[in-house]
Amino acid sequence: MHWELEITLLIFGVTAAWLSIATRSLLTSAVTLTVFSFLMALSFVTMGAIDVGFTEAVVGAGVTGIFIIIAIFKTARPSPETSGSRFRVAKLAVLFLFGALLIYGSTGLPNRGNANTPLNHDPSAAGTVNAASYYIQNAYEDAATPNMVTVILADYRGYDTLGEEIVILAAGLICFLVLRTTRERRERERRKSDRFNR
Amino acid sequence: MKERDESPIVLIVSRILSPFIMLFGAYVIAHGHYSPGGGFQGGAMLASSVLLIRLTAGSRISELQFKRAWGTPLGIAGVSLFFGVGLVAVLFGGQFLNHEFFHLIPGVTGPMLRSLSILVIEVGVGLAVMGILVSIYDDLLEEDERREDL
Amino acid sequence: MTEIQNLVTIILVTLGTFFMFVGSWGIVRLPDFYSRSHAVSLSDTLGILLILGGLMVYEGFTINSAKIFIALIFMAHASPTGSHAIARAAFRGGLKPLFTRTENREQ
Repeated sequence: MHWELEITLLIFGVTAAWLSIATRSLLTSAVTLTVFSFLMALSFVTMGAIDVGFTEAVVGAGVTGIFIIIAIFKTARPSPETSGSRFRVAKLAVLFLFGALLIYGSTGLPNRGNANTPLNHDPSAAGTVNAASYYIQNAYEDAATPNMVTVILADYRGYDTLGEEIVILAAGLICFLVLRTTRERRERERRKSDRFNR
Repeated sequence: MKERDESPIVLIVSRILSPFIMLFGAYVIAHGHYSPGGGFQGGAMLASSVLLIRLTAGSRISELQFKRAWGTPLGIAGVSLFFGVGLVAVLFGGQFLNHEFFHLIPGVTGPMLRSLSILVIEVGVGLAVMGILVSIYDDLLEEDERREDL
Repeated sequence: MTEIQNLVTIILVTLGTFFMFVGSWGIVRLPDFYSRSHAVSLSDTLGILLILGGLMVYEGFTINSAKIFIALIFMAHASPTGSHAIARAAFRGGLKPLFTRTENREQ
């Protein structure tokens, strides 16, 4: 659609990703990672996936940055010594070969939003009704909700969203169990420090 | 972390902005039927409005806004709300999470029923994401805040 | 009416991009952290306010215009506060400003 905007965003995104790898300071790489997330959010929006872009902007560029920075402050920082640079040429060669392979593979992909691809044919190659076109045609009649993405997430694919919620809850509970100190342990530590102070 | 450095400008501006971010998060959750957005995004925005006060004002002031003990129960309540919507459909004789059978409100059937249950699900997702994100932040900063209190 | 709207929009957005360009130029050209943060905070805030104002004029009296206005108020509060917090953290962290010219005068 706006190919100039997309290419500009991708150039900035690649620059931010390279900075976050190349810098020595962990804080700088955290900040450049949030910049990268925000650029990815913008490029999602240019692709028309506004819901995904919104999620990326709020979670990737907002909350994750805070968590990463807190984790950096809470943990010990490794001394900035130079990593072993053996096989440097081989690593670069593998990297470029992999990139060239990806670019070669991406030339076989259909254009975005092309209605004539096999993915969008109705009926599909297997002879069934295509899921995407079914959603597009029937989402409003089924659920009386104009935003199709919301219908897919909460109604047609309710199980997936439920599983996602359970994953988030599991992450929160694991943080709770691992990191939160119990009241008894806190009291014990306080008593121990009092003994030391006397 | 480092010792807390309280700048009055940052404190006041974050106190002004936080309720509006929270309001916008609630708007994103409730307006997810008509515009981009939904439970996950709105919940993350609600969490970020709480985290803004946590970051700027410290734990003691932000306990007035959102208690430390509320995070995990709120997350569990959100997931239970999601489960409850599915189970209500089962109780009225349908399949799990089939919202056509969500006959709690008399006189509302068919697509409207599905729309309403989508709203309930979005609220559940929003509460879960908000509670879990805030509780992860609190768990990460547990020791330091205790040391600050002592 | 539409022509006037378009004209005002073009003027405001051009001014805004000019100020943002000046801010970016300041990042590249200025010597130390505090002067860079000064350049970015002032001119970028003004630039983004002008751009959002131009977009408001372009939209006219619609709900989108009201949303842009809310974003404008948010930016007007958040951007200077962020710059203030960063500069204050740098000062508390012990970063010394460059004082080349004053040092010369004292000598």
